[in-house]
Amino acid sequence: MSHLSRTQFLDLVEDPDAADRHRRHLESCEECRATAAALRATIAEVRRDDETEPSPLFWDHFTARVSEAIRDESPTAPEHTRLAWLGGYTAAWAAAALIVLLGMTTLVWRVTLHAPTSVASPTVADGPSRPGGETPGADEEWTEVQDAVATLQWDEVQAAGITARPGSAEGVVMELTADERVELARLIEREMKRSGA
Amino acid sequence: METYEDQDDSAIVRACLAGDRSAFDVIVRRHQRQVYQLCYRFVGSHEDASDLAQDVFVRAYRGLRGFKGDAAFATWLYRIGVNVCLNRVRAHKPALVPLAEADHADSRTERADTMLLRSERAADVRSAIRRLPDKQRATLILRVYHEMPHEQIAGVLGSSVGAVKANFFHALANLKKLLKAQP
Repeated sequence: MSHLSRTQFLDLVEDPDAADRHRRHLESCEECRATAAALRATIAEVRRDDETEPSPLFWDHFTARVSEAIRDESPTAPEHTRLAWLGGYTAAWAAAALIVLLGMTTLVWRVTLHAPTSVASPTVADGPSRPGGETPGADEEWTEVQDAVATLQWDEVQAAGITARPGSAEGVVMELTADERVELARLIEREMKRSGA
Repeated sequence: METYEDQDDSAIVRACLAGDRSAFDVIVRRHQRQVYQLCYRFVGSHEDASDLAQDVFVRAYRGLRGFKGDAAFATWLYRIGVNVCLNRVRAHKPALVPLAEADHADSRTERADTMLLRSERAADVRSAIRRLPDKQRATLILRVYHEMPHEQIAGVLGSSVGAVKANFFHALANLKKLLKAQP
């Protein structure tokens, strides 16, 4: 016997009429009956925590505070307008770009320079580091990428369908033109010299 | 002097963008309770909720041109609110309120022991909610305390209705476990 789905359970706890629709199954399935009862009890317990309202005087004071705070502001374009072309998945795209860049670095290091690889796995939560030696504030785009991925969780990246698969980096490099490969090698070589590798 | 009280949010936004800053006061008065309550549910402190709610409105004002009117203004505002709150709670890991510091009730109208038990349990529930993963917590708060339909929650969180339902189900299931594990 199959059990109720998550959606059916939510129906049961949120819609009083749903019990009728699932009555036959509930009568015969003790497990689903217990789960539904537990979910209902949990919602009831959460709802029992009443709204806490500040003093009525608070609201006028609050409106005045906000009014004061925006006195010298003006409505501007939304933040990160320059990255709007990336769509609503800026953070995911930034993470993907970071993964591909690190993958290519590893690959070219191995293949072109025949050096043992020691590139650490990227940790999104730690955020990307600024390309070495550049003046802080000189690269706003990089700062935006840093901001975008700073709070990104791996779960969210994976949920967006972006994963690093074996061979992905090789695939990306094969897509590059000859000039792009030369430029990539030049950039990597420069970074290695800078870091003393 | 023109009054905006009877106008809808979109009209008031247009007035703000046209340079009438005072129109934004109407927006604030109209939505301040919901925004404040949202913030309070995330941080559990009136002082922090007040600061966060102010931040939400300031950010909304700055980004007013980003409101395209393709969703309700409230949904757009909630989206800013949830982002501000999640950024805040990520930066400040949950400070679990010891039961001794939980809000104490007024024993003049209800038996003191009953009120104490209720107050302690409410503190346990708040503490458990703060331990939920971000999206589950946001979904639970919007659904239970703001009685928002799944579709609107999806608009606020930028996800699908299916994802909202899944998050809500998992939030309840996790909450049940957390509450059971409370001493």
